[in-house]
Amino acid sequence: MLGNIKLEAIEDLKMTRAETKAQAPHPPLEVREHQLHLVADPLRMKIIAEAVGKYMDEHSFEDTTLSDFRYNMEASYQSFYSLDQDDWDFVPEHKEQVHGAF
Amino acid sequence: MDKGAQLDTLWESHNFYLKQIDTLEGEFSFLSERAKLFFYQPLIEAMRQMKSDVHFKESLPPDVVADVESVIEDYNEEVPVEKQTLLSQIKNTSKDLEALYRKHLHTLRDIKAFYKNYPYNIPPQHELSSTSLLDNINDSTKELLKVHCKVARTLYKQVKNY
Repeated sequence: MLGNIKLEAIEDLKMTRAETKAQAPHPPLEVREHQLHLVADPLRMKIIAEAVGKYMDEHSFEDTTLSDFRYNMEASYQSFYSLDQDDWDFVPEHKEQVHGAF
Repeated sequence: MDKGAQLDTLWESHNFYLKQIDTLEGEFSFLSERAKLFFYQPLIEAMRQMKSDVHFKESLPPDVVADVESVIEDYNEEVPVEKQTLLSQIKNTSKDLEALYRKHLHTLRDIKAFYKNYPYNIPPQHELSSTSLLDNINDSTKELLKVHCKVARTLYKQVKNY
């Protein structure tokens, strides 16, 4: 009985820690490509990268600097969350926030 | 730019990264050979000293003498390897190669998205023989990246600790 209560308390503590970590403000990421320079938190950086990608795709717009800048933003986000090398998606907590906008 | 040209550009990027990867893989392979030479260097130096001894030929069996002379001759042309230079070359080449593999994966993601989003805009020359082709290229690149990272780290550590 006491063991169960203790286990529950540990689980609660773990949950609280995970939630706190998810909500904590992230350190800004910084990317550069030629004259382009951006400092932003991971979510905003990823949203900008997705928006640039969507614009370039919808308008069939080709620009190497912008493409590289977009890649740098995506790679920075991927690396920050230690995602798999071919996982270019939002992390689950961010997916909820962007509501499938992308 | 129309959709067909957009897909052309994506495949051109894909091919460009493949060529770059091939070049850097060649460079990395050359550095692995240089590392091998670096590990053999003390042994070759010891053999050179043996050969400079006046009693070298008399004190050893003829087949050993022939082997030593052959090894020395093989390595005579080689430029000596400097540890710090080799370490920084391994580090830089490996970093560039990793970045290229990642860029290649990113381009594959865009190509896959194009085929999914614009199935009716695929020019005949870009039609795929199999729907799993892109996934297979993706998985192979991912595997190559994984293996390269492991090999590069091992090589770097071995040279550093030698």
